[in-house]
Amino acid sequence: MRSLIRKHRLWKTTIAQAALLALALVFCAPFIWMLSTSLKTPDHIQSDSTDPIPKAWFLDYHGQRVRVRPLRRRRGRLEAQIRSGPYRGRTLLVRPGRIHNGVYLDWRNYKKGFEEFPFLRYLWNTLVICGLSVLGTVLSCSLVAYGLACVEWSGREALFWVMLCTMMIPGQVTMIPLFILFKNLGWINTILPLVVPTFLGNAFFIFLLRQFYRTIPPSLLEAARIDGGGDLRIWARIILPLSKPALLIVALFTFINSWNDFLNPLIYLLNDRKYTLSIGLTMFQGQYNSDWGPMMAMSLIMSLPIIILFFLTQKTFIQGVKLTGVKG
Amino acid sequence: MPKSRTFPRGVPVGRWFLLLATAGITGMLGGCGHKPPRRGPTVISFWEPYGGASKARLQKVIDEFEHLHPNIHIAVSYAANNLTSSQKLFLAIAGGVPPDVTVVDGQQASEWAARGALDNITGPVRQAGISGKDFWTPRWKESVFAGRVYALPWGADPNFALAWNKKLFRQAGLNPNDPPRTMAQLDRDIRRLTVIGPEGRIIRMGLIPWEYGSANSLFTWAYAFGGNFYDPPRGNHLIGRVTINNPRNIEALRWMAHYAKRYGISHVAAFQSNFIGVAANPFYTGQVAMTLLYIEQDSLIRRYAPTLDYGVSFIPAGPHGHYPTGWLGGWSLAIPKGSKVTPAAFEFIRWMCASPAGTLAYGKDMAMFPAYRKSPYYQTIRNNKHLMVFYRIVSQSTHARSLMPVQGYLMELLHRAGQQVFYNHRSARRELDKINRLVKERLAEVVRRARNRLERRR
Amino acid sequence: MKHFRPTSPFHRWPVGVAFCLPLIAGLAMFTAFPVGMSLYYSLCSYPIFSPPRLIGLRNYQELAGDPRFWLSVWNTFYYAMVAVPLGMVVGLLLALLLNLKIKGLAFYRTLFFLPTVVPLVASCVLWNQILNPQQGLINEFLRFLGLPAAWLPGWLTSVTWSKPALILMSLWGCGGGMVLYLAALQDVPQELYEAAALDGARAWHRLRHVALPMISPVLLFTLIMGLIGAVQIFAQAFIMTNGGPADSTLFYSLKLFNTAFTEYRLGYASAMAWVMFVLILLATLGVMKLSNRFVYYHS
Repeated sequence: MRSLIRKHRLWKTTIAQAALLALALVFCAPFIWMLSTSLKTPDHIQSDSTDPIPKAWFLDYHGQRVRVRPLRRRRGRLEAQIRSGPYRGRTLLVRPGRIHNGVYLDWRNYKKGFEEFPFLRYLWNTLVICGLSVLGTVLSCSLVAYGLACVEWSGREALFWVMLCTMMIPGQVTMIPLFILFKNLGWINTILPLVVPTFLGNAFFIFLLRQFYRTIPPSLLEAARIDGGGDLRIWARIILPLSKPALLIVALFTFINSWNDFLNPLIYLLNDRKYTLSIGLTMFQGQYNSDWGPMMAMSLIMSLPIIILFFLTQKTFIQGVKLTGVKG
Repeated sequence: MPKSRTFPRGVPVGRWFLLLATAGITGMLGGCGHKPPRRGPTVISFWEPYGGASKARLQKVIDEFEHLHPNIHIAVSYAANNLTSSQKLFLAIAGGVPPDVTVVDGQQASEWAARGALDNITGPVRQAGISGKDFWTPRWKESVFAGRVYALPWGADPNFALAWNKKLFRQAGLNPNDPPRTMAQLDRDIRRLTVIGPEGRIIRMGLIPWEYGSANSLFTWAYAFGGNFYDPPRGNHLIGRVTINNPRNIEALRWMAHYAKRYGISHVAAFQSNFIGVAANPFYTGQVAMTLLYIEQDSLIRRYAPTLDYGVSFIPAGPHGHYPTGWLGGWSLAIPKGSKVTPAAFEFIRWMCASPAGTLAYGKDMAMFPAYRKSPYYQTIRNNKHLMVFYRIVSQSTHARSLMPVQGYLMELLHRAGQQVFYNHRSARRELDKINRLVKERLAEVVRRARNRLERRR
Repeated sequence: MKHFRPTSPFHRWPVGVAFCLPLIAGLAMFTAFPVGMSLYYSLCSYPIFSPPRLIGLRNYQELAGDPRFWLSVWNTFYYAMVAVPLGMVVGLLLALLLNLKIKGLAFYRTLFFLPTVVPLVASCVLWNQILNPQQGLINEFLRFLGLPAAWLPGWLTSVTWSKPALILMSLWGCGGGMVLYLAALQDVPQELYEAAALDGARAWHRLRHVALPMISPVLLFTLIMGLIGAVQIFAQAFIMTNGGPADSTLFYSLKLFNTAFTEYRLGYASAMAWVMFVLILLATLGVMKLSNRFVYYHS
């Protein structure tokens, strides 16, 4: 029996591996494109957007392979400027045939991306807002979700529905009164409008945690109560540790949301010293035309921390509510 | 599979929370503690739409202002405001925390004025001896509503020049030094220059008649055909005559639609979607033989397509249009409602928009044309052949997009009409008739409200 | 459903309220006023820069006869009805695949989650390229499969294919749901899968009757949140198509945005929001009602 299972598993994993690899390719292709765009010289973003390999023009000059930038055509010849090596800056007249295409990674988009706005300042601002939002959301949502899922009381369904309803009103029509509200609180141009509401629950995550908490067997809570534990103790001693993975998901999603949130910081922070990275990212979008090279570079840079965070923690937080072992 | 666990003891998450809390509180202290405004100079908050590298160039202009006005400090903030999304500014005005000075898309100035979003600056403008004669006329007209001045025109974008690829002209057997001047010549050249591959796939376009979206393009070609959208009111009237369904406008839209049909709108759209981003312009790569050029593009071509052999001239005109033709766009500066018209704020606007030094700095640092007609910047471009083409457009244009105080709505309707005509083959006349009616109604409503407000104030 | 009942529910309400206090406070402080005001605005003419003026039900009357509003509602429901279930299926399939014990799981999980991390503006630019009918990745692939050129979809440049294009794009972001399903699947005993591998035909049966019910609370969550989220789809249409071609991607929130901020008719926009609110609420109520039959909270 054992060996049979093993054999089957081997066969199955091979198929799964193949499927995963194919899917991985599908999910990866856009990223490769993003990466390659971010490494292309502006001349090459334009000339061939489908070629995934960043390229530039090269020329053999005095036995050396140097990078050149074509400037203009002059009587059938090409005037080109040398952009690398000891002859950098020199302008030559060459036959067009002598110049050839070669692989070249242009890191200037990254440099330009960092120079476009005060990156470190915006990073710090973003991290502060993200950190506080994560803290507030995780804390308040797990409390509220406990109240909605693990405590029986009349009115919890009503409260749940009211909460759900608030998600169905688009922010665009509540924006102005909300702004005026924060203004009367004196919170405009501070991070308070971005952070304080997160301490007061978020419908999405409360709902999510409620779904997880409701799978916790009632017998477990009952037993704890018979042991004489107050609800706050049960929440802290049982629910929180049990749902650590789910809470991590909430933390991660909150982090991503506030990391990428553009409109709220833009609206509530009046002074652009307080802006966040996602606002910085929009600066690459011009009126008629946009600078996609640096934009893709910055998008990658901005995604990187989350990707790493996800990679390192994914094992923990895909575990949902850890019930194994407590089930009878 | 996770290890079996019995009742967990203690709060393992607790430590985690504590860490976050500490970080959070430190952050809160750091984030909230806004520095008190600099003592000494008056601080003027100024919202701009660019951000990034353009903001750095703008900062150079502002540095010059601050150098000349040591008692005024300009705090510049990126506000991402443009025609379609200005929520930050809207909310700030509605919430009573507007900036002292803001950049406004010129076409919206009269609309925002009519809706009461901008302060009336007629008094200080008169006192400073500034009048409409100091600016390119269409740009000035955009800044005025009901005889009052609500903004000063800052830039003047001559839209558009015609650029043509000389090499492709030669290849197609056309004279590379003779760009089309009439619509008939343009039609001929487009046909000669367009290359269609198998299955209708477009290899090269002679010209894409709607390259800046249906709305902007319709303004361009309608004026080229001799059309008009609005006769501004005269005397004490607040409403002029809406002429969106002017026969020449219909003719222009039909002309555009003709190409949508001839080459297949889907094919052209597919072709166009090959090119995104500042460097990926089909004209730069020789996949479009003629393009409508806006002013920044001359330097962009030098940067991204230095080998391109091209000429710059005026866009062709129909039998009833003027040659050269075009219309002016551009940013304006204004003081939003809720901010006081202080001498410092006005001085900033005046210097930026209506002083030789400020407009020279704008032209040089931002590489754009100032709306100030007498700007010494125009002396500096005498030797630039391409810029002189733009100069002739800016000095001879009599049009802005339209001077209606419902410009945002009009732009949206025109965009939609273009799509309905190109994709669904609706009749150009019927679409423009409909828009004419809708805009008229909306205009009446806006003006009625504006009149009430102006009278109440009196 | 079994419920524990140490005391009567009425005695437990102080505890429940105490735990829900953050939510109640949040609703009272930051939600009640803005939402109430938007309801009030829906009865007003409110041009943003001047104060709202009551006009009764005129906005709603106008809405009833506004074909573009109903077109936007249709577009929105088309999108939501296809994108949400499809996204759930793809997310679930990915989660099931990644729940197997195979090499490189961490890598695959991260990879499939990647798209949810990319800033929206960037992914819009990206997809504009991918969906490009002439040289985009998708059509290149279809061409490679031997599809004749005339059959290749025009995606965002075609009135019929623009919504499917955005749906396709939304599938790319199913990693968020996948993570949730993965989390929920951890409670499904591994033996189940091993047995399923042996049984072949009965695998589906087990999945259907054991695994799915076990993760049904999370499925319900993703369904409802997916619906509410999909109905408010905005950025993709705003950035990539601006409602076009020919209004085929004019979604309700895009229409609402244009009404509010380019036409300055916040009153009318609010009325739209409330009509849509009723529609979403009805849909959600329906789903919830159905869910009672399919969702199991305790094994």
